[in-house]
Amino acid sequence: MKNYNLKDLLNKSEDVNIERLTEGKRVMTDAERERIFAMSKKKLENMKNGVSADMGEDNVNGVETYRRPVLTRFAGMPAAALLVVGGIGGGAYVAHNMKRTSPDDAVVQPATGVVTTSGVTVTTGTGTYTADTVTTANAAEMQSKLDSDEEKIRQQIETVAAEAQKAYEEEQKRKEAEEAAKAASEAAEADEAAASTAEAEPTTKNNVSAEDAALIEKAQSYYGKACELYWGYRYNFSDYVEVSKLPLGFSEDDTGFRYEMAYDDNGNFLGVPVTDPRIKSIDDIMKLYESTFDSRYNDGYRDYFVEYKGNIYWKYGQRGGNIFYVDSVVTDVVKKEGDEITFTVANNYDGTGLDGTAPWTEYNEFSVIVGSDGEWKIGKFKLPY
Amino acid sequence: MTGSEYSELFRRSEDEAYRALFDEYGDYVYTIVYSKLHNSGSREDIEECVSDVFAKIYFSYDTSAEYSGDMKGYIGTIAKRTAVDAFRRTSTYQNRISGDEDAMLGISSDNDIEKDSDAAEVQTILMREIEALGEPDSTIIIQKFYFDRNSNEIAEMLSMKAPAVRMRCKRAMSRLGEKLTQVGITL
Repeated sequence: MKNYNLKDLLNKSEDVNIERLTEGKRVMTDAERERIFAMSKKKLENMKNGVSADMGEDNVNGVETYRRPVLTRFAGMPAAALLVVGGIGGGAYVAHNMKRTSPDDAVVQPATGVVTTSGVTVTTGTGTYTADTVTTANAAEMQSKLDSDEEKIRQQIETVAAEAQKAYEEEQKRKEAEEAAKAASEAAEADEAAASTAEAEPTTKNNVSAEDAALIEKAQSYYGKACELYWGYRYNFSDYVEVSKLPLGFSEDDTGFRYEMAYDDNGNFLGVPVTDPRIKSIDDIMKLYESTFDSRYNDGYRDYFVEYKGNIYWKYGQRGGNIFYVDSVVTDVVKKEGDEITFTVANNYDGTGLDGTAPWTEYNEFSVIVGSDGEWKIGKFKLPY
Repeated sequence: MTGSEYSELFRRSEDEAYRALFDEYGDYVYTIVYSKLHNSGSREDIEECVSDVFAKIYFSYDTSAEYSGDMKGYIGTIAKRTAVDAFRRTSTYQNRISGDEDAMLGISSDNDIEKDSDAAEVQTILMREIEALGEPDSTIIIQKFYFDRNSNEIAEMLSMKAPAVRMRCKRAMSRLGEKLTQVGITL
């Protein structure tokens, strides 16, 4: 049992499947609907004034909203806190020094002698200390207290600064990691786009090299040959090998024929007996088919035949072509991988002369397999009609 | 809507005709454009392209011609061509094809035909089973996993509540998973 990712599977689905699945259903939101409709009308006005709808890459319109990165807001917070705490701490430090150096106020001596003064008020960042009388012992204690407060403030400033620095560094690291992840993601997307392009869309380039031009020219003739042979092998097999034919029998001079229909012992339809002496087994048919079509793309061709009691039967089935088909043009070399060259083919259809359907173009991939002798075989191919 | 219906509406009121055409085929065009551009362009690119398609149709459709057929084919063709042009603009040539042809010739093919064939079969089964979920579950699954919409957007689209969308999505995924497991596919 295989594991699949639903999103991947849907992304790789054929457009026609998705279109069928969403037919008659809403796929746009109301907001999108109104926005796009308004844009269409605006562009229509521009076109009436001579400006192309898809205005080209040199023109710019609309408004792009600038969103400030959220991370800078968080990085700014510690910085602002640092400024506030620094302001308070600095103010306290200045106030403390002014008190200590003022000639009119008590001079706090670290000396041990007894000195008495009065009306002392000391303000620090953490509080106000007042004493009617201060002895040298009290002064020394107060000095110690002030020094301690200063140290606390200094430590707080250092802590906040360290936190701000750390936040800044973390943000830088995060940014770098995000950028690296984004670059890796973009590279992966580019690879994926390159891989999916081949199956999704034609890849016309303006500057086709001489080598590619020669390949395209050769591929054009091979594509016509592929259409003819595929149609023949699938639906007119009797053009390539002998099968059992019976006269129509309507009249004696009737030159028409009908295929002989064979059945097994139980009455189940087998097909038209293959009478060609070259064909002894289904493998012989596959060899014939694979002389033109590469085996890796034989697309179940073997199932068109059945072997019963030593005879080979062709499961006869014909169908009509697409009457809208006009022609096909090989437009582009999409890729060259190993021995395979893949091209884009534009298949043109037109129903104006039939039911009035306007002309349209469908793009398909067509590949050839280059043999060791330089000969081409038809690889990936889809009959356009 | 047929060409003659649009022409008649257009003669009565251009704005009404534009609106009616957009209402009828807007989702169809959006689906086509999204399928071409969602791997290479942003949602804004897709909206731009859809508006380009309708502007071109409004501008170029000959309302004097009495075309009795459905306009869907005409609109689909313009949508596909415009989307392909937009795709070319949004993804550079270099992004799509490696430039070193000599090196490319030396590299063996990574294509796995059997794997591709399996994937196509799986996709067919998947589409069938999603459709079998019925409405609104199939729309929820497609909108969530293909159009990449969140529950609020889907809820608005389906006139439901976002938690209800999430619940239905969960149950639909569970049912889908069971159905697919029966045929050997696990999500």
